[in-house]
Amino acid sequence: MGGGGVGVIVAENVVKRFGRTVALAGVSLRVRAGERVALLGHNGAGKSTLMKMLAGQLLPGEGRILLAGVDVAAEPNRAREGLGYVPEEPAMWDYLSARECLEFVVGVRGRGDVDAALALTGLGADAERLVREYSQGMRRKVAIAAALVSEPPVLVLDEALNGLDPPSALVVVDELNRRARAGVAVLLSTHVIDLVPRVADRVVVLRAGKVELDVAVAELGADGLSRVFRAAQSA
Amino acid sequence: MVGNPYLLADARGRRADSGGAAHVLGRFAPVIAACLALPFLRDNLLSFAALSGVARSSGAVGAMVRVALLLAAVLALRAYDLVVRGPDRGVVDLHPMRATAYVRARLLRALREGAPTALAAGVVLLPVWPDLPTLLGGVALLLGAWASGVGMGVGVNLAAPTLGADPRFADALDVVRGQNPRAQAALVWAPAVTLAAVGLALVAAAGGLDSGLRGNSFGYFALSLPFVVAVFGARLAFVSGDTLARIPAVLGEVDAAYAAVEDAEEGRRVYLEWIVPRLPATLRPEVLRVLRHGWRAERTWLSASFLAAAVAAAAGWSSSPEAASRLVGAGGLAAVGIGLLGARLRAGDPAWLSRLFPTSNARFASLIVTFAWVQPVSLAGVATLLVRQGTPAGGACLRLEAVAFAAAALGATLPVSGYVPAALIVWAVGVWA
Repeated sequence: MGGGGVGVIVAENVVKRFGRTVALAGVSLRVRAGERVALLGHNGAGKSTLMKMLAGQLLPGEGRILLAGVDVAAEPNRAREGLGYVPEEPAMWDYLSARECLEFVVGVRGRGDVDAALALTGLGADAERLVREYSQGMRRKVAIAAALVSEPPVLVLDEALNGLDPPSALVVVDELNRRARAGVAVLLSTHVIDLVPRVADRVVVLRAGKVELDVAVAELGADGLSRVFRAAQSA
Repeated sequence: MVGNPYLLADARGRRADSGGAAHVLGRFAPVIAACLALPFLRDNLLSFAALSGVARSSGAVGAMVRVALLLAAVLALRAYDLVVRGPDRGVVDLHPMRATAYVRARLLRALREGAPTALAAGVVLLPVWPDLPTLLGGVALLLGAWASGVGMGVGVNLAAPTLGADPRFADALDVVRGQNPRAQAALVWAPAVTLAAVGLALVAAAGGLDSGLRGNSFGYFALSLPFVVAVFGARLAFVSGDTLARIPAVLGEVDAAYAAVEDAEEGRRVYLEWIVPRLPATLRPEVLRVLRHGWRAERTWLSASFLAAAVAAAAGWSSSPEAASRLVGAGGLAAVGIGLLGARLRAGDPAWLSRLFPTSNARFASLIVTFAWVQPVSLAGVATLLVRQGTPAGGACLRLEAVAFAAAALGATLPVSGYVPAALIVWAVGVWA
């Protein structure tokens, strides 16, 4: 298990089965404060299952998951306090504007700067339009803004950069890097290889529900990262 | 935190959706449908209203308790939809749950959204209220059904994960849980527990009302029982607030287990797939897609149509002259329910699908499939009626098929919000005709 030391995101020997299908077969992962980890793997490797467990939307069959020291299964609401999560398919209130969506998040979490989050994600000019009028990419921006707006100490982003135009993706990446420098633990899954060196210190590859590789990006070099990425994408 | 963010989001949503006649029609569709169906109901189901004295009074109380039970069941199931399976959960579950604010918002929303249905129940009972005491008692009973259906519906469903984790309930849950973990079993059984508690309270209240109308004034006190149940349910929702955040994990396990046990062969074949090769080649891909979408996304709804078919058959299996009207009423309502699937499925289609694969056959395919899904209901009723009454009943059979076709056509063309009022009006016209 890489990323030794005190972890803000901790998965310990997590096993998850759906009937006869083993989605996760003893995954251990640790992301420290200020660390950025990219979770790679082909479709069905177990990335989203692991991320749903981190968000408390699935329970581990065995093992445990801690966010900032809080057991997610035992205290899901306390764990959510410190988590900003972008699911693979974010749900939205279509009948609210982007500003109203973010005001709801700030209302629930008790803190946050709506205007700053709108500006960061480039939604400022469209902030008053209803979400149902948004394109897929704009909806994803709202989901990212909702995860970031209250500045939680843990960020988990499941394919959050998919569907964003390249300039917007780079802005989000820069913001994630800024948050990491401020001590936020970032775990994201992505299929966009070009962004990995910009947004991750470490790469964790899942294959068939197991951690196949856990390595620092700096140790890989550009060619090594390409090889790892191609291997990770092949089932 | 300023104010209640859940209430604020609800209010903003109402404001965004408040424009247009379709919205108003949709909101008051139950009342409109009740008004339109009143002549049919009066002549076929409330015929005792023409009697007098004790017979009429007893009949009125009996009708009131049935309508109150139906109202409470509808509202309790709606509450389950709102707090357990509603689309809101995908949004609120990403963030910490402010339990008290959330429960208050959901109770108020369920009460508000259920109000037109309660009003429609009152309209249905208009012909059976002969005097002021019966009228006041009936209003109290319906208000009790409204409050207890919502209160218990919200309370029990929200409390279920808490009760499932409580060792004091372990033995009871072990008896009923089958292969499910206790928390899941508690959630699965929550609607049944709600209906049982509300049903007992309403039956007891109706008994008290009957006793009161016969001169025993103490009987009227029983009318407070549904309100006691409502307060208990609301209280249950508030005290179980700390564990609301467990619901997504429990549901996630239920859904994942369901997906995992599905047999691969069963997953490939879908209901009515055999009709596809018999259609023109240009229609086949789209019809197959709608059949698969419907069977896999709305299997519970489609399975329930078989129960509706049995009800329609029972309505038609009679030599009574009223059987034809009953068949059109019951079978037509089932057809309207199934027709809704067409609108629901299109609403669930991803936006990119129509952009990437534009086809002129999509709505026609939806019409064909929905009309085919309705056939077990309408044909079961038509067959039994024709067997019992012969060709003179052909007019009613045609009326039922016309309602079914119109519902399928509306489902293929209108959004859900427009479909509901339009289809209920078609049904009422079919019943009236």
